[in-house]
Amino acid sequence: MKRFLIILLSLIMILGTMSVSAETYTYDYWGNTVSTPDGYRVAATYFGDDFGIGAMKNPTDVFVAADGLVYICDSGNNRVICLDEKYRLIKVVTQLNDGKNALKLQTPEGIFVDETGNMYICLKEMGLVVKADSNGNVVSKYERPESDLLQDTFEFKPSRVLVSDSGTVFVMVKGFYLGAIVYKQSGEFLTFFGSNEVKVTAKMVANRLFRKLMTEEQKSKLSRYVPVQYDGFDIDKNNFVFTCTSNALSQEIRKINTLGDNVLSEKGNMGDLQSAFILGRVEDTAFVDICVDANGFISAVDSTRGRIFQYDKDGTLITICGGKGDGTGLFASPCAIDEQGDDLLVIDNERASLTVLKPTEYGALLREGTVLFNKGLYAQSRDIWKSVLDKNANCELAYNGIGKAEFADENYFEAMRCFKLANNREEYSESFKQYRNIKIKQVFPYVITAIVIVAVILFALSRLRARFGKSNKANRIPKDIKAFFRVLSHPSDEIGEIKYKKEWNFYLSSGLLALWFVAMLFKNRLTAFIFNYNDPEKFNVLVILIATIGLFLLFVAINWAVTTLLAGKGKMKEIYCSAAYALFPYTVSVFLSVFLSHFTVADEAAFLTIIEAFGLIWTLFVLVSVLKEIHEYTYGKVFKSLILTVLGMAFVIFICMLFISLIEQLISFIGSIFNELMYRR
Amino acid sequence: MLNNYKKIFSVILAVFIGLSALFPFNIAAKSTDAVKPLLSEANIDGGYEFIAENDKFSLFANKVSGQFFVADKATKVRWYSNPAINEDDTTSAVFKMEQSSLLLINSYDETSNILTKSSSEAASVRKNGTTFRKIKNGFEIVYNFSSLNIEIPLQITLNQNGFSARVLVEKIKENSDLFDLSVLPYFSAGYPDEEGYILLPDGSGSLMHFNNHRTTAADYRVQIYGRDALSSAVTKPQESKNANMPVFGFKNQNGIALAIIEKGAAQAAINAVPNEKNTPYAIAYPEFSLRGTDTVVLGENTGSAQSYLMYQEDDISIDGIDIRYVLVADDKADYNTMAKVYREYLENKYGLEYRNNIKPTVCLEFYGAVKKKKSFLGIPYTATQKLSEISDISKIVDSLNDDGVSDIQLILQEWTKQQLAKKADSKLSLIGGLGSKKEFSALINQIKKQGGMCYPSVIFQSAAKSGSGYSVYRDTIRNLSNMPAGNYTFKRNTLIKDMNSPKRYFLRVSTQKSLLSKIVKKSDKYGIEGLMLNSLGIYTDYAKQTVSRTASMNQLSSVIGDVSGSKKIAAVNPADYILSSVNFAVNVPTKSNGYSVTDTSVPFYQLVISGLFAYCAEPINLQGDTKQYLLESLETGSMLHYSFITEDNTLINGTDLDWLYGADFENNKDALISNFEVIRQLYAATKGSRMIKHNIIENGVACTTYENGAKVYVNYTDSAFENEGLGISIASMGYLICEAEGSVNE
Repeated sequence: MKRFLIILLSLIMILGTMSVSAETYTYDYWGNTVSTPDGYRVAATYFGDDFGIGAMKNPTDVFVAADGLVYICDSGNNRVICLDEKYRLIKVVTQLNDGKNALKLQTPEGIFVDETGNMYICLKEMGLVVKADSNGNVVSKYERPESDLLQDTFEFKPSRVLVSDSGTVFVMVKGFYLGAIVYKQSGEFLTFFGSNEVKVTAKMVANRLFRKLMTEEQKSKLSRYVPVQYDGFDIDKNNFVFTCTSNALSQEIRKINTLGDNVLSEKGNMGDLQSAFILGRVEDTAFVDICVDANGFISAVDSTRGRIFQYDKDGTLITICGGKGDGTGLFASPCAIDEQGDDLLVIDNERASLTVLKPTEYGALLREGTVLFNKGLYAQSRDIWKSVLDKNANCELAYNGIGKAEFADENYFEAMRCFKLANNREEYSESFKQYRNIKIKQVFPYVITAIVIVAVILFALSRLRARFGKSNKANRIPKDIKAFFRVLSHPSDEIGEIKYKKEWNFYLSSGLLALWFVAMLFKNRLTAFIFNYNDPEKFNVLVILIATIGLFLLFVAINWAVTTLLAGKGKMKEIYCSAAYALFPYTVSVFLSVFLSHFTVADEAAFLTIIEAFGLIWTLFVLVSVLKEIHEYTYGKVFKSLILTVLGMAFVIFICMLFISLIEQLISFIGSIFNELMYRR
Repeated sequence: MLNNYKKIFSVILAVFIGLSALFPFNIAAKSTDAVKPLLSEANIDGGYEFIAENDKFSLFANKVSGQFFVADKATKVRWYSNPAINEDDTTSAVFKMEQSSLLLINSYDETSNILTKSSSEAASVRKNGTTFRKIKNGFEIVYNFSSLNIEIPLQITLNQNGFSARVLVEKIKENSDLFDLSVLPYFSAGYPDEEGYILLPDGSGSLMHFNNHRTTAADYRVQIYGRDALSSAVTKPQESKNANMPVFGFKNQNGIALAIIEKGAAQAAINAVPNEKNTPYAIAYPEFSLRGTDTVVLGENTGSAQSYLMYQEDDISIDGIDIRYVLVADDKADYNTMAKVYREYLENKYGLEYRNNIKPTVCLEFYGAVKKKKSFLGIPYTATQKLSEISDISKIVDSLNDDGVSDIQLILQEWTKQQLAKKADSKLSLIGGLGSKKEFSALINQIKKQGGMCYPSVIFQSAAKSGSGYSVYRDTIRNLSNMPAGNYTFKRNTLIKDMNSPKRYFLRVSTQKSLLSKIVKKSDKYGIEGLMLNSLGIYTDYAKQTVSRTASMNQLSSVIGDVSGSKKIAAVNPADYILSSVNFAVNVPTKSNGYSVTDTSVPFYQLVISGLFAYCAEPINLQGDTKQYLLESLETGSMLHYSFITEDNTLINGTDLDWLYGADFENNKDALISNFEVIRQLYAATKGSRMIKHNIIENGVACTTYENGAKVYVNYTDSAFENEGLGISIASMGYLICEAEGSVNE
C-alpha cells in the first residue's frame, strides 16, 4: 500500500534539516539541566544591506574597540567594515597604504584595534598580519617566524590577533599546536605562548613503553601526542590571555598567566556537560571564539549547537543562550563574539549577520549579583539575589549568594538552608560548624545533667543487682546470639566450636546480610548533606542490591569453588554463615558513621573514616580467622585462597558484562530487524 | 551492472541535492534591468488578450502560457501573475522558466527514486501542452506535462474584490506521481528596485521587504496549522510559532493583494524567497501537499544509521485547491488593510461578530500537581506533589479583587488524575490533594461572580498511556511508515531523545470526538462552564483509510463547534477554523519567529482577532524581561497572563514543570496589580474598542490605534522618543496612552 523506497541520504542533509530550538536552561550542581529565564535577548540583527554596503560574505571576526567603534572582518568580500556604537557605517577598509604601494586586503580573518586606533589585521591567505594606523598607513608587518620548532610544511595562516598593553602581539594560527605566536611591536618573533596541555592517557603511557622497542621507521608511523590547538582567544585588562578550544573534553576555556599555566578556577568540563551520539558521531561543545568583558565575565560561542555560554571570572556558569536554527536568537553557524559593554555581538558566518544580544532584566540581575559577590560585598548582593529568586526559584547562584550574606550576618541556620539549596557543601559545613557550636553551648548543661542522672541510675541498678544476687537474665539471651558475639571477639575458637557442633544459624546469617544491605542503603541515601555526594536523581536500589548481596553471594560461591580445589574443608553453608557473621562489625560501623555524619562537619571527616576503617579491619580480621578455621588452612593458604577468590570474582564479573553486552547487541539487532519488517509491510 | 550505475547516480544526485540545500545558488543578477510594465490600459503587451471583466476589474491573459494580469478599472493598477522577462539578467535557465510559470510541481521520478521539480513553463507551455478556454468570468487552462503524464487544470475567475485561482483537483490526471503543487509562485513578485513587502503568516505575522537582499537566509517554508507528526526525530525539531491563518499578502506602491487559501489550507505550506536569491524578484506562494512523504531513520543509536524516504501511494486526498486573491488599489494600503480585508472575509465565512466592548481582564493559570521523585528511607518512589490548593486559589482571587483586579479568567492545568498520569481526559477525576468537589464548584462560582470564567484544561488529543475510553495501540494516528504517530520529549542540552520520558501518541479524530463528548458530560458534575483546550494540532492519519489533514481539520472544527454550544472555550493561539467557537485566546504570540528572510514582526493575527474576544500572550512572570514583555502586550492589545502555583516554588525543582521557576504569587503580586492598572488605563482610553491599525514609526517605536481613535505608543529603544509633529514624548522602554481627543497620560 505504501511504496517503500530506499535511498542513502548523506548524513549532512539530515543534520542540515534538523535544527534545534532555544529553550533556555542552565546546569545545576549535579550536571542536570534545569529550566531558567532568558539571560540575554536579541536586541537587533544586522545584515550587510542594513549598513548600505551590500551583503557580507563569510564574515569571520568582530571587534569592539576602546572608543566604542565596531570592526567586522568581512572576509569573503576582502574588506573590513567599521561601524559606530549604534551600528551606523563609518568606513569600509579595502586597502592600506604600504609606503608607495597599496596593500589590498585579502581574506581579513581577524582584527584587533588598540587604544590609539591602530588596526592589527590578520590577512589569512596572504600569510601576514599587518598593523596600520587610523589613517590606513601600514606601520608593521608580522610574518612567518623562523624557528627550529616549526616544521617546514607549516603554513602561516593567521586567523586571530591580540595585543597586550605593553604592545606584545599574539597571533593565532588555526591548527597550530604550539600555541600563539608572539612578536615584539617591531615585528620580531619572540616565542610561542600558552599551548594546551597534553592529557596523559593510558594509551599514551603504553605507547611510550612500546617506543623503546621500535625501529625508527615504526616510530615515525606512530601518532604523535601534540597539544590540541585552540580556536579563539581574548585578553582582559590585567593582560591575562583567555583561550578556548573546540575539541577538548575539559578545560575548554583557559585563563593563561605569563608562564603559560592555566589559572582558571574551573578545571573540569565546560560547555554542555553531556555529549550526544547522533547518527554515528559524537557531538560535543566546540568553542570557536571567546571574549572577556570589563567585569571579568567570559563568554564563549559553541558552534555545535549555536549556543553562547557565559561564565564569571572563576569559571562558574552564569547563563546559556542561543541555539541552532532559523529565527530570533538562533544561529546557523556562529563564529565570532565580542563584548560591547554589557552586550554581546555575535557574527553568524553562514547567515552573514551581526546579532546584538542585550542582557534581560534577569540576566542583568545575575551579573550585578555576581560582581558584588565576587568582590565580597555579600550584604549588598543579598537584595539582588532575592530579586533573582523572585524570578527563578531554582537559581543555585542566588542561594549561594544569600547564604554567604546570612553567614556574614551570623544567621547560621538560614545560611545552612541556603547553602543546601545551592548544593554548596563546604560553606554548609562551615555554617553548620558555627551553628553546632551555638547549639552545643545551649544544650550542654542539659546533656550533662542527663548523663549524671543516667549514671546514678545505672549505679543504683548495679548495686541492687549485687544485693539481690544474679538474676537469670543471662539465660534469656538465645544461645546462638551469644555464640555469634563470641565469634566476633574470639573468632577462631568459637567457629571451631560451631563447626564441630554444626550449630550454624542460617536465619541469623541472612538477617545479618540483609542488615549489611540496609546499612549500605542508608550510607548512600541518609548520610548527611555535607558528606553525601550521591545525586538523588541517579539513585538505583538495584545497584546497591547487586553491590552488596550480589557480591556477597558471588564471594561465597567462588570461595567455595576455590577452596574445594585447594583441599579446603569448608562447606558452602559454613562459608555463607561465617562470612555473614564477619560482616557485622562493618555494618555497625557504617550505621554509626551515618548517624554521626549528621552531627559532624567537613573538617571532621577523618573521624568518620576512622570509624568505618576500624569496622572494616575488624570484619576482615574475623573473616580471615573464620575462613582459616573452616577450611583448616594455614595463614599462608588462607591468603592464597582469598587472592584466588578475588581473582575468580573479577573473572566472573567480566564474563557477566560480556554476556550482558552480547545480549544488548542481540536485542538491538532483533529490534532493528523488527523495525525494518514493520516498515516494509 | 545497471544497478551499480543506478546506485552511483543516486548517490551523486543525493549529494548534489544535499549540497544545493546547503549552498543555495547565489545569483548576482543585474537588478536594475527588470522594469515593471507601464500601467496604461492601451499597452497590452506580452501577448495578453482581454478575457473577462466585471464592474471593478478586468482580466487579460496570454492564451498560450496562461500568464495573466488583473487590472483595477478605476485606478488602472495591474497585478501580474508573472514578472516581465529580462533576457539579460544572469538568472539560471531553470529559474527563468519558473519565473514564467503558473504552476510548479514535485513529482516522483522512477529512475532516480526522488522527487523532481518541474515548472509549467518548461514542461508544458514550451512543449505546446496547454489547452485554453474561456469560462464565465475568467478562463481555464489545462497544463499537460507530457513527459510526466500529468494534466492539471487551473481556473482563474474574477470576483467582486479580486480573483480566485482554483485547481480542479478532481480533474487532475496523473499516475500516482504527483506530490506537491505550487500555485502562482511569482504572482505580484517584488521587483528589484520596488518599495514594498510581503506579509507572511507565522506567529503574529512578519514582513519580508522586497530588496532586503537576504541571499544568505535559510529557506522560508511554514506549514499552515503546524507540522505533521514525524516518523523519525533523531534530534529535536525546531520549536516554532505556527501559522494559524492561511493567508499571505503583497504590498507595493500601487496597493495590496491578500491571498486567502479557501480550500486546501490544511495541506498548504507558505514558501517565501527573498530577492536576488534565485531570481531578482521577491516572491511568496503556497505549496500544496497532495501526497505525503516521510523520512525514517533506522539504527539511529548505532554507528551505521541509515535514513529512508517514504512516499505515499494512495489517491490524492485534498478537498480542493482554491485561493482567493483580494486586490485593493490604494497606495496607502498596508498590512492593516490586509487585516481589515481578512476580517471582512472571516465575518462572511464564519459568521463572526466583531464588537467594541472587550473589557479588561487578566488571566491566571494555576498548576495543580506534578509527579515528583521522593525517597523513603532510601527507597525511591514517585509521588504526586501538590502545587496548588483550591482553597488557596480562592483566597488569591479574593485578595486580588480587593486590590482592584477584577474580571479574572482562571485556567487550571494538571488538575485531573488522568493528566498527571499522562493519559487523556475522559473522566475528570480531581486530584485529591487539591481540594474537594464542593470547593472546586465554589471556586467556579466565585470566578463567575467576579466577572470572569474558570477554564479547567482538558487533554483529549494525545496521551502517553491508554486510559478509560481509548487505547494507545488501537486509537492512535499512524505515520506513513504505519507506526503510531506521536511526540517524543528531547533533552534540553544535547537535543537527543529523552528515553526516560514516554512518547505522547496522537489520537484519531474519532477518538478525540468521543473523549470530548465524555468530558463535556462529566464536566457538569463540577458545574464547569468553560474548558481550556491546550495547543490543538491536526495530523494526517495514514491508517488503512487515510484521513487527510483537511478532513481532520474539518472534523475537529465541527467537534469544537459542538462543544462551544454548551461550554465556553479558551484555546491556545486559535486557528481561523475555530475562531467562531472560542471565547478567550491564550498564549497568542506577540511576535513572529523572526526567520532570517523576514525583517520585522507585525501583530497581524491580533489585528484580525481583536474585537472577537479577549486574548492574552505568554505568561509574563516567566519572561526574562518583564518590562519588555509588558510593552509587547500593550503594542499587541494583549491582556496579561500569569502562571502560578500556591505552594513553595522550590517544589518544582527536578520535575517536569521545572520551568515554573517564577510562579510564586506573593512575589508577583505587586507587579500584577500595577500592570493591571496599566491595562485599566488603556481600557479607559479605548473604551473596549478593537485594534484597527498598527504602524512602526521608526525602528523600535510603534503605535497601535483603536477604533474609537485612542492610540498607544511603545518605545523599545535606549533613548526617549520625541515627535513634535505628533506632540508626543515617550520615555525609553516606556509607553504612552493617548485618548481619542488628545489628552495624554503615561
